[in-house]
Amino acid sequence: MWLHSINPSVKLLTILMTIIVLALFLDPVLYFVFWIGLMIITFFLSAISWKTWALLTAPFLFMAIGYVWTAMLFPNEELLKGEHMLFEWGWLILTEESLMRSAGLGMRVIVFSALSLLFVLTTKPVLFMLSLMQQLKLPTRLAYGIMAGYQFLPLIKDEFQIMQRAQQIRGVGRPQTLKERVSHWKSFVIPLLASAIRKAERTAVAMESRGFTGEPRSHWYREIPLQKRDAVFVAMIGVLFIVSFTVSSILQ
Amino acid sequence: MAEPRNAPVIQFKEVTYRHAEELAPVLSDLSFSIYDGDTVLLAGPSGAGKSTVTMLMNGILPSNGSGVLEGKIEWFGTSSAKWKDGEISKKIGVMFQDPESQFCMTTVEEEIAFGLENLHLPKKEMKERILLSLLQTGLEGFEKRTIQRLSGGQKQRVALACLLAMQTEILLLDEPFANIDPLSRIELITTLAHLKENLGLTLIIIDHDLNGWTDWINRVILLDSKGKITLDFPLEKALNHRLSQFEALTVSLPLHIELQKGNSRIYLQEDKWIKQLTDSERIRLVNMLNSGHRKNKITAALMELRNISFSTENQQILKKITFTLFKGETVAFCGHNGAGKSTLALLLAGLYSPSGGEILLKGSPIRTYTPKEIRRKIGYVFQNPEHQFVEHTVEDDLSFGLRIQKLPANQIQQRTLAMLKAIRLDGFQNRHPLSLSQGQKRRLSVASMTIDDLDILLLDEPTYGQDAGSMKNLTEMLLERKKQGKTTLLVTHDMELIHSICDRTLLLSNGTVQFEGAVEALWELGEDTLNRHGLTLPPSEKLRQSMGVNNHVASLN
Repeated sequence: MWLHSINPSVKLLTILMTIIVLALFLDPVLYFVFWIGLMIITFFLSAISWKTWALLTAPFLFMAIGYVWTAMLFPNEELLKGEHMLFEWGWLILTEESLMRSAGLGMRVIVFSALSLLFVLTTKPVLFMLSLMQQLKLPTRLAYGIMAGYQFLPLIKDEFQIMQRAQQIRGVGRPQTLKERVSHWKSFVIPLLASAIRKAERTAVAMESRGFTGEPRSHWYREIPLQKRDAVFVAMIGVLFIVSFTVSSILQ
Repeated sequence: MAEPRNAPVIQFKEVTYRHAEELAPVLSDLSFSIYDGDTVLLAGPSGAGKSTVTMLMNGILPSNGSGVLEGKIEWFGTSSAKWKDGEISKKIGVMFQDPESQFCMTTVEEEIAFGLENLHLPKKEMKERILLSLLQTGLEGFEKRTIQRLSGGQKQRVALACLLAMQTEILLLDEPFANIDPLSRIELITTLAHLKENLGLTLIIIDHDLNGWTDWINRVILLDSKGKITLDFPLEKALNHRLSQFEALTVSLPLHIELQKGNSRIYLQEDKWIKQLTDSERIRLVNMLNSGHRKNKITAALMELRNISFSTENQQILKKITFTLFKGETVAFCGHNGAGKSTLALLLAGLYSPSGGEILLKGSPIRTYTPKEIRRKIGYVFQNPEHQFVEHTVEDDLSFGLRIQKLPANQIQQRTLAMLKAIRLDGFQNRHPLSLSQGQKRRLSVASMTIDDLDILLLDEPTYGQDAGSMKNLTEMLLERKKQGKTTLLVTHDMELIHSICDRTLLLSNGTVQFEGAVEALWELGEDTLNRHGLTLPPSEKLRQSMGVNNHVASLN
C-alpha cells in the first residue's frame, strides 16, 4: 500500500516536523480538522487494520479524557479572572477559555498518537534502519547492532515462556500476590540477561567474522529509494495543515 | 601420507594465549600449519580452547579480546600483524555452533547480502552470488524466507551459503552440528564434501565427534584439556597408533572404528573392514550388536491418552492421539521438527490442557489431580538445562524439590550429598548452576528432577550439545532409573540413545501417530522411511544390517 512504500526517513522527518509545528498551537479546532484528515489518509492509503489501530489508540484516548477532566475540575484560579463564564455550580467553574484549553490539550494527545501510529504501523523496522543508513547516514555499526538486537526479541519472549513452564515443573508455585509476582519475575532476570549477553557476544563475533568493520557501504543490496511519492506525502501533510489552520481561523 | 604439500595458508608458531585475568594459558605453545586444500579435524574435550583457536585463526582474537598472545600467526605466509582490519575474514569464513545467534538480518537473502556488502560488491554481482550460493547449499527458493522460522539444519545451511557467497577459500567449522538432528548432520556433511571437491576449499573442522567425517578428513590435530597439541597426524596413522588418545580426550569415534579397537590394523572405510572379516568374526559381531536387552514384561498402565487433540489459535498440532504408557518402560517420541512431539510431552506433563480427549493418570482423569500432586509424579527436563535452575547454588537447586516436600533437614542433606556424589558434582556445592560446564549442567538438571523419586520423567532432547563423556553418563543415569522400575519418556532425535535404552517408540508426523511399537520394529521400517521422518538408523543397527546383508551374499556365493 501507498503509505507503507513511503521512504521511512522522509516519513519520520515529516512526522517529527509536523509534531513540532502543531505543538506551537493549542487550538482544538485546528487539531480536530487535522485529525480527521489524518484519519482519511491513514485508512485510505494503508493496510492498517482498524482493530489494531483502535486498540493502540485507546490508552491515548483515556489520557486525553483525563487531561480535559482535570483541566476542568482543577483550573488555574489566576487565569480564570476576566474569562467568559460558561457555568458555575458550587466549586465547579467552567469558563469558555478553560474549556478550549483543556480540549486543546486532549486533542493534542490524540493527534500526536495518530501521527506516531501512522509511522509505526506502516514502517518495517529493517527498512527503517536501512533507510536511516542510506538517507540520513546513520553509522552502520549502530544500525546493524540495532537490527541484530531486533532479531533477538522473539527469542527472548520464547525463552521467557519456557522458563515460566520450567519453574512450574520444578514446583515453584504460581505467584498470587503482587509481591510474589515481582520476586518471581526477578528470578528470571539474571538467566535471561545472561543468555541475552551471550547471544549478543556470539552475534557480534559472527558479524565481524564476515568482514563487518563498521565502515560505510559502497553498494546496497536493498536500496531504499527516494521517489516522487515521498514528495507527494510531504505535500499532502503540508496541505492538510494549511486547510486545518484556515478552517480554524474562519470559525473563530 | 607422503603426498607433496601445498602452500601453507594458516601457520601457528609457538602460540600461547591467556585470558586477561587468568594465570594459566588457554593455549600453550601451539605450533601447526594448515595447507591449501587440507581437510583437518581439530578435536579435544570441552575447555581445551577450541573456540579460542578458531577465533585466533580468523583474527577475531586477539584484537577483540583483552587476552595476551605470544608467538606468531601467519596467514598465506604473511604475519597476522601486517593484515588490515577485517581483511582476513574475507578469506577465512567461520560457521558457528549456535544456529540461533549468528544472524543479524531477517530474511535469507538479506543475511547473505550482509556479507557481500561488507565486500563492497556491486548489486548485480550480489544477486548472482546469492542465487548461486543458495543453489550450492540446496536452498533454492529460500530467498525471502524468515531465518528465525527455519529448522536448525536449514539455519546452518544458510550460514554455509553466506560463506560460499563471500567465496572464502578457507572454511572453519566450529562444531556446527552440535545442535542439529543427525539426519541434517549427515546431509550437511555430504553437501560439504561435494563442495570441497568442486570448489577446492580448505576445511578446518572443530568437533568432538568423528562420525561421518572419516571418509574425507586427511589430518587430525588433538588438543588436551590444558590447550596443548598432543597429536598432529594423518587420520589413518592417528587411528592406528594413538586410538587410546581419542578416547582419553572424549572424542566420539564411529562405531566400526571403535569395534576395531585392539586390532593391529584399523580400516577407515566401513565396507573395507567388513569385507576382510572372517565369517566367525562376523557372526560374533552380529550377535554382539544384537544384544537383546529389551524385555516386554506386561505391567500396569500408568498413563492413558484417549483421542487427544490439541490446537492453537490457527493450527491443529495434535489430532486424536491414543496412547498408553506402561509402568517401568522407556519410550521415545520421534519424528520431524514440528511433528508435535514436544507438545505431546508437555500435555503429558500437565503443562498444557488438551483441546479434546482425555488423559488418565493411574486410572483417574488428570484434571482431578492438583498441580502439586502432578508435580510429585511427573518430572520434565527441558532441552536447555539453564531454563530450569531456580536457586543460586548447586546444592540448593538440587535439594529444592525435597524442601518443597518439607522433609526433615538431615534427610534432605543426606540425599542431596549422595546425589551430588552420584553425578560427580561433589565439591561444586556452592557454585552457581549457570557457571557449570554444559555436561555438568545437564547432569544437574536431570538429577534435580530424579532426586524427588518421580514415577514418570520426561526429557526433551537430552543429548543435544553433549560430548561423548556426558552422553555416557546420561545414559547410565537413565538405565539406573529403568532398573528401579521407573518410567521414562524421551523426545529425541538421537537414534543410538533410543537403540540403547528404549523399549518402545512413537513416531509422529503432522500431529498423528505414524508408527507405534518396539524399537526393533522401527528399524525394520528401513532407512528410506526413517529418512522421510527426519530419522536415521542408529550406527550399530546400520552396521548390523549391512553385515547381515554381506553375510547373506557370502553364503549365496
